[in-house]
Amino acid sequence: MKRPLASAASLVAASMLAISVAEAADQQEVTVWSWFHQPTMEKSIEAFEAAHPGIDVKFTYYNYSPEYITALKAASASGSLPDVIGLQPGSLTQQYREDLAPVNALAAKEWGDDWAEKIFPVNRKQMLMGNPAGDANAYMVPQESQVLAIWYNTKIFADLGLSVPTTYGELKAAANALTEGGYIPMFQGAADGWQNENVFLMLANQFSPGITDRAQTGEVPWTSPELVEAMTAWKALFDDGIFQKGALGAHAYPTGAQLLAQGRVGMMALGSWWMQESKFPPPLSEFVDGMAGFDFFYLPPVREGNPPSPPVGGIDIGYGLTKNGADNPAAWTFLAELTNGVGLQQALNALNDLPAVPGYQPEGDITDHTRALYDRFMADLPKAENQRFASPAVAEALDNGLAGVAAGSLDPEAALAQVQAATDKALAAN
Amino acid sequence: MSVSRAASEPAPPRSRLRAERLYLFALPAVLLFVVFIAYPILWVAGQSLYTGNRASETWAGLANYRAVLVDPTFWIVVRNMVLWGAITIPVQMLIGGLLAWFIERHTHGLRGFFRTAFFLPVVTSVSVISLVWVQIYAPYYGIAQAYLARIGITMVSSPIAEPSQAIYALILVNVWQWTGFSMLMYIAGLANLPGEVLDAARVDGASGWRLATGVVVPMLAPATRSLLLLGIIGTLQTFPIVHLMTGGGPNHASEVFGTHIFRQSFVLGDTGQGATLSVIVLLLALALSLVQIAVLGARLAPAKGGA
Amino acid sequence: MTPATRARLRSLTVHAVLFLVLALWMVPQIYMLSVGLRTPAQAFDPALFTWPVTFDNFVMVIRDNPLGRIFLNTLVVTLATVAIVVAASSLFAFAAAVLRLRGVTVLYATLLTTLMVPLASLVLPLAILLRTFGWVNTYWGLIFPYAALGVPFGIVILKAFMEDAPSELFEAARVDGCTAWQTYWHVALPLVRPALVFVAIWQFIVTWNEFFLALIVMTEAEMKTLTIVPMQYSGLYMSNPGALFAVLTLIALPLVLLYIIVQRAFVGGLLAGAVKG
Repeated sequence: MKRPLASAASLVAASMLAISVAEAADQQEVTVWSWFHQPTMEKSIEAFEAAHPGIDVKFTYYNYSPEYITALKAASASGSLPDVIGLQPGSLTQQYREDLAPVNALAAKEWGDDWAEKIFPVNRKQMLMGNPAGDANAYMVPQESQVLAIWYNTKIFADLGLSVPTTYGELKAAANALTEGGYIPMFQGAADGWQNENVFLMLANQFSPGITDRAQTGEVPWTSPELVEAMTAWKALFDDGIFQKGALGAHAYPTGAQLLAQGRVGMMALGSWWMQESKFPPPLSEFVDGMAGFDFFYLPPVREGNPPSPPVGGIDIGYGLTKNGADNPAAWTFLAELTNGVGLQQALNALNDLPAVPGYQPEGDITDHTRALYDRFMADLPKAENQRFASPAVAEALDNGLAGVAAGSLDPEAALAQVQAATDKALAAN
Repeated sequence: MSVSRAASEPAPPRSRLRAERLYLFALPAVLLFVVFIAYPILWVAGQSLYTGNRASETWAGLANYRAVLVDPTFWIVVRNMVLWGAITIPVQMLIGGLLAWFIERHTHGLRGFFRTAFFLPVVTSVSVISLVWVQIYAPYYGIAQAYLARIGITMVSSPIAEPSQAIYALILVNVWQWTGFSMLMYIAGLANLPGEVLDAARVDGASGWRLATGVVVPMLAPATRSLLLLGIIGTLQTFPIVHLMTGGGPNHASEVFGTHIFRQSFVLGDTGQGATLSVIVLLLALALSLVQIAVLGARLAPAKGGA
Repeated sequence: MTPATRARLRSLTVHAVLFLVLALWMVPQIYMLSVGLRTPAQAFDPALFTWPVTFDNFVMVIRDNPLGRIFLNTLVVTLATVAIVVAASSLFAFAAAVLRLRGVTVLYATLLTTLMVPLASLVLPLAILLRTFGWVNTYWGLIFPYAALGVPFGIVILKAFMEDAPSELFEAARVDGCTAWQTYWHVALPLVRPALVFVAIWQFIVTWNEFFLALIVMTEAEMKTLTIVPMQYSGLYMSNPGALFAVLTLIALPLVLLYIIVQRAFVGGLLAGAVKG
């Protein structure tokens, strides 16, 4: 009698243990912050939780600036960061490097020792951007990539008898024709630093590919002739009526993107992520149904002898594992699926942007035209020039310089000298 | 708890009134101040002497202070703060005072309605106001440019995007938001004016301008003094409107202390310089408080001035 | 013209001018409501009014967002802050103005400088402090800092009122053998009641509208307060200004309604200060 009783008791004990383990498993929670489009993130999380029923993901959405950077900074100062945080490569990642756990070992275990080589080159470079000399750790895993381009409204172009401009003269003529036709020629949200940076990078990289990278690392000065020319060309975009009047006070979102979708804008510098609007719930998606009537090109040569702007881009968003999250195994599980798994697939299905690694295709209801656009972006991604900055102070100085030049309160040399000063300071600090 | 127990005790002798436990009355406020204001300030003061991040923090002495003071942006901020105070405070007083005068002296049935309606911007959240004004100022589709165009004023760009106009455009929003407060203070001040004084002045032949400058304005001095005090406080505290509308841009043109501190410590991640700026503002605030207490008296009341 | 008609004419002119100024003054608020009632295609029309109007935006943002919970959070934080501010500042004002305790004046001057500290300076240390207390994502994490920031203004107002109160009353209370607490509770507080109401309403407005600290203390979606919502949605509804402005209107509305209800008491508080002069 004793034995069965004992075994029954042990059985009970074992099952209780199992229950408590199961309960503990049930309670695995991952906290995530990011500025990622919330409805899309919710789909990614839903797919993840379906694949990993034991893990509960708590996501907090923040607007990128200033809310997200404010929340991150405060949480970092007080040691209360969530497990996983959305990151941009370069400056944002570097700012929180001390709060982040290197992911190399985990990534190698998950995807093999050659995991980094599988990432598109521009992304791989950006992933490590700004690390101190000798630090080869990755502090973020890229999730999505982007390619910057000029979107244009094919219907308006056809109505006005315009074709994709291949020279600066044609660009100017197209802008004039659009203005005369009652359209906004090229919408620039020049109140947004990021949009100004993007256009400047397009310009600078056509004068000399990769020059902005070399200037960041101090190999060439920001005041070198190519960059001064690029800055002068930037000013000309305002003076020559290529950007709309009043561009300085305008915002790319919501204004520009929405006016572009509604067919009131001829051209606008955005990027591959803009396709997601065709997946937004109605009534918004009605304007960009299946991307019909929209296509993209790269900026034509702004000076005779230049090539057109190369594709510029890189990581749209990546995710980092905080030191808090490093103690939570579920956090890495989520991060892995989000950047290279079911979570990523959901984001791609919403056309949020391009993947950071090869081997993914958006699925679901996607028109042939959209897929063709997508494939062109994907073909250009591997040869894209870097879009990102390693130091926030340098990006900030460039933003200020671009705004000052556009407003006519700074000349190009002075603006670039500011950027050089910020670069010197940043490099000295490292 | 001990305070409420005291209530049931028999009448204390006079000396008991001086008992130490009376300091318990001051305790809650002091406790809140020490924990949530004084400690953070000390932390900030400490940080201002270091550079680098938490892990690589190094003693910097007064290097941060030197760096802040030679930064041209700091002097743009000083200029903007002076402009802010010098424009906001008198303009709000003037408009608020005129509104108060006409509402109090010339309306009856609708008095409450006007008082409330002009005050509504004060109760509206800055986070709401700033988004609305960005749209109003916007080029192309903003209503400001559309309606100004009808009266012949062309507004090519958004005023908050023009380095030469940005700070004034923000001041306008601030004036719009806070004039209702000045109005209410003056309404309270006017209610204090004995009708007989005005009537007597009128009988003496004082009217219009002379009545206003000779009798009314001097009698509103306490309200004006309070508004000056609050105006200076408000100026140093200026942050949300600028932060949410321009972030201090373009190219620092509308930078104020709040946004400059925010930029240094949050956007650029330079806690040391952000802290240094905070200490400088604090010292400035301290100096201004002392001057105010000495010159104006440290009290706020729409009527009956002085300390 | 008889004096009577002249007076009427003047009254009419004044009213007309006041209404004109008010119409200008209300443009931003009207515009906010108007954009909230637009379809996406109308959203960027450069006009104050557009036709037709749609309520879809309001329906959508109310349906899609837990505004009720957010509203409740704001209400809890605000009411608790108001209670603490009124209590702490009236106690301190009593100590300073009536008890005239040694050293309290110095404390008073110190507290006064708080009024000028830019909040952006305090946010980082407060974040660390709240983390130490375990108050991130709790109501207390907002209530106590808000109260600390609000108390100095309350003290300034209440101290002035208590000093203006006839000192014979406090003297009489003392002669009658009242304890300090009894004097505070039965004499001082009733005397400055209009000022208490004023401080309470003012603190309510300020707390309800604060957004910066709320942003860093409330990091969980279900703890957020109303003022954080507009910035969240300016990104979320990045291509839908109608929805954004519908949210703005919904956020602004409660306080506007509340103010309309209490404005008489609020102005009354100010006037009471005047009448004693």
